[in-house]
Amino acid sequence: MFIKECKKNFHSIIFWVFVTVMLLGFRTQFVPELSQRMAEPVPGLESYGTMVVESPEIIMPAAVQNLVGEYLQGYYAAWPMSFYKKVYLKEAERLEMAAVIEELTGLTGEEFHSFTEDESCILPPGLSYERFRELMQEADRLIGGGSSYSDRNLISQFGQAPKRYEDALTEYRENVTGAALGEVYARLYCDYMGIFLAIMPVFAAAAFGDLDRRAKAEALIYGRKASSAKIAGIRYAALTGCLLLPLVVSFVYTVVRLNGLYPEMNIVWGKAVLLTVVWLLPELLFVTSFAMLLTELVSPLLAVFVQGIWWFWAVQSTELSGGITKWTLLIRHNELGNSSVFRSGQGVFVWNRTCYFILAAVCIAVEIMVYEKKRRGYGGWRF
Amino acid sequence: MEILKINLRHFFWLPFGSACGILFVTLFIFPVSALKGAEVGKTFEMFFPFVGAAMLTPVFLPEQDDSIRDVIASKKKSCSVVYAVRLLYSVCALAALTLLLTAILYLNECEVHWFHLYGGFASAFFLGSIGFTVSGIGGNAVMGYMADVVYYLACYGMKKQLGVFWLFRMSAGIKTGKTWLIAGAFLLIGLTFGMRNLRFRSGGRRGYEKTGR
Amino acid sequence: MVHGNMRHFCNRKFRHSVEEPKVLPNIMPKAFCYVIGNYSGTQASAVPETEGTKLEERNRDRIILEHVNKFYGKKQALKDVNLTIDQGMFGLLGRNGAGKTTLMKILAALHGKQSGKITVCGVPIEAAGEIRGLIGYLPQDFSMYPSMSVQEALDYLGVLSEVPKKERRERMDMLLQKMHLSEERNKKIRSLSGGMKRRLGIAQALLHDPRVLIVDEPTAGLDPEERIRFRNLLCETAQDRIVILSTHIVGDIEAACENLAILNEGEILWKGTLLQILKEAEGKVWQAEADGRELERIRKQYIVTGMLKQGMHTHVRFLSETVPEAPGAAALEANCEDAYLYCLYRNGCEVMGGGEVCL
Repeated sequence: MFIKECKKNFHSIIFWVFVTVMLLGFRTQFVPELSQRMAEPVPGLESYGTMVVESPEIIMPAAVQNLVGEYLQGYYAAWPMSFYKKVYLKEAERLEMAAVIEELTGLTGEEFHSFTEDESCILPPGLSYERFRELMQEADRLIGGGSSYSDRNLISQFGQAPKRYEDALTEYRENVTGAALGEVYARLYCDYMGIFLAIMPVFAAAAFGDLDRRAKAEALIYGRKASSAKIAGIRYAALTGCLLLPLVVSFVYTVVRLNGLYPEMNIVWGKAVLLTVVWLLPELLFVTSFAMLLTELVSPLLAVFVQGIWWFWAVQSTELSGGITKWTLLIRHNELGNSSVFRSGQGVFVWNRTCYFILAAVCIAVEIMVYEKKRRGYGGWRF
Repeated sequence: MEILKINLRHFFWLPFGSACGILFVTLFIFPVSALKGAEVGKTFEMFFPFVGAAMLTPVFLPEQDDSIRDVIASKKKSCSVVYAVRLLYSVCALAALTLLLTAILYLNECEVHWFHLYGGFASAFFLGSIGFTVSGIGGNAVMGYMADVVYYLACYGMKKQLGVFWLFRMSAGIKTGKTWLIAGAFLLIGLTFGMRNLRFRSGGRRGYEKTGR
Repeated sequence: MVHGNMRHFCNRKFRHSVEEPKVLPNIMPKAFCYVIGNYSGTQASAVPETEGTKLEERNRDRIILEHVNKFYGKKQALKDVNLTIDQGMFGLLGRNGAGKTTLMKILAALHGKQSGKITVCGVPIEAAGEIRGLIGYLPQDFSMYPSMSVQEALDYLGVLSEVPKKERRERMDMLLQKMHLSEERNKKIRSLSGGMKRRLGIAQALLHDPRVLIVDEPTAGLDPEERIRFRNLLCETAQDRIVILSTHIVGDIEAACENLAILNEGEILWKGTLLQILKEAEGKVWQAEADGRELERIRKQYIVTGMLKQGMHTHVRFLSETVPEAPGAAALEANCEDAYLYCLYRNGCEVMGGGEVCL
């Protein structure tokens, strides 16, 4: 039955469109990264990028400077629900904010009102880092949350320290080794493919989930001996199995190209494969099962609509690197290297993917129940 | 007029509700106050085009079931008239929603110009017409939505290849060229009507399968 | 598939009782060529002008198909179909996949033809709009928008048929009453039973008072009572119009149609009246009591059209051109099913009879 279901999928245009889009996405986004080796840093450059450090000396003046700047321009940048918003304060809030700034700068309102962009703040000597963080939280509360001054953003936004040549070289040497290289590239691969995987399977799932109804074969299938768990389970397995095809092809291509690009290295692929599976498989399983559930329960169009909105939300709200949260559908790491940022969120990463794996199992279990109910004559409603 | 009334009653509200949902999400996701220049364009172009997809892609959906299509097609009034009526009110609704977004931005002190209204409508109309064409020719609304999303994704990485049909011109600060999208949309719509008539008259492969052979 | 009292079918060619099967030339018996009416353009032109005018007038109440061909890709679905259909019930009989639905769809101006000429009540089929005004069509799987009520659906379809509002209301009331759907008028389509849906299908097809009614496999899936009711309804309807009933269920044709044609692999195999096809099978239908080896032999040698097991014995009904070599074989009066199978055999078709019992 599994093979038969797979064959059914292979005969569908939607499946092949899925394969084409996945491979095109891979070709246009990721393949250019495989055309040249990672560049070794050379001494004497102006910049080697930045790195995040929790240093009060760096964070405090930068954050205060930014807050004063925003106060003076009259609006604040915020990312409530992870989306950018301009926030204007009411008069009472503005006065509260002025009080916060007065304490942060040790200046009176009149004094800091005459600040210009070029002037830099000098912090009052008695201001401790702890008090500074409290005041920043107060500022964040006045803005409405999600601002640069929130606990979550403060360090990542203002703790940017320039990398030195030595830092860049150390990172390069860490990354370009047989043991690490596979993982480094796998992270970028997963970043790109994850974007497509968060939306494209929904079309295949919606189309296949609706196939029986469109073919008016529901009653025929309902009447068979096979249990609902077997029918729905095998269909799900076959669909996800088929949807893995472009991933397998593109990953194999990556392996071949990288082995060619770094011939002197004995790249260890085990960890890279494991990372890719842990990163992408739960996403694929969840998106497919969720779409199948909504299709079975209500309609394929609702599945497309809901997943479409979710996907867009995830794409817009997820940070390009780091910033992994417990529930984000997309996990991103849009750079080669910078492994420390990824490693710092590894615990949340595992938690997140485990959750989506469990959610996928729950969705498919509910789908089996819905299917069973429908077989017994309790129809869902469709439009 | 009666065709319009019945279709409005039965087939308008669901796509319109979805389109309103997308507009609502747009307002929620993107900044809507005190915007200037390309930022206004982003609000019009980065998610709003899906309003067009929601309105135009399901025009053929009620007759997606071949047996319903046969009944409707056997009537004296041509099916194309029914589709044209649905398309017309869908485009009007899209225009109204674009106007609503413009008004919201204007009231929130954004620097909105007429070309934003025109450009936003053009992008949404064009994206919708892609879904309209694919679902009309492919006979499956899911395929239509898939085409919308694929085209949208292509706009992220294929600016050069898509040329004048790139959806995000205003976001890049380009104020012209949106007429190409309108023209392209009309072309696609014309193509869809032509192809459907041709395929339907000849029976096509699907028609053949339906005979039970 | 052929329906009988006892249906046991397999894919075995009919064997003549005495000699090897005679593969008859695959042409129509001349005697039946013009039974239904003169349809050939050549013949029409051969008659004097006054007769020609009369013929033209007669043709306004007919459907005439001349040399109609239809291809789906490389596959030919209709092969040089010639047919004239007069007022009354006309049955189009054929196996699944014979091309019936294709023909029906072409007549309903839903599909185009590749070549040939078709006129419906004097109107060429190419004038699709006009044709659709003349024709009421009930497709094989009738469906309507599930969210609409019966009344809303009829009203909408009436609008699409361009029936004026007042007339639409009157006819809707009349048809709903006639189809026993008055009480269901506010019910959603999705909640109708199969029989109700079919009746609604007929109601929508008759809403604009068409001169031709085309019904494709209308009784498939209906219970016996609904089926009889449906056939009677069609017969009533056929009193003042052409009704084309396409089916693979021989019983429907037998009960309702005076004229019929048999379509096989896209070709008109036979056309004539019900009486004529029955007459052709006269003396060819036999019954014998058999068991064990004898039953096996009969199955292999003849087209078995029915079997009834009674106690230790089996009464087997079969076709044979001559007196069969079966003990106690007695000739029976042919029914339409026998005649249909005999017709297929005579025309060289591979006949699916009850050659093997598949229990």
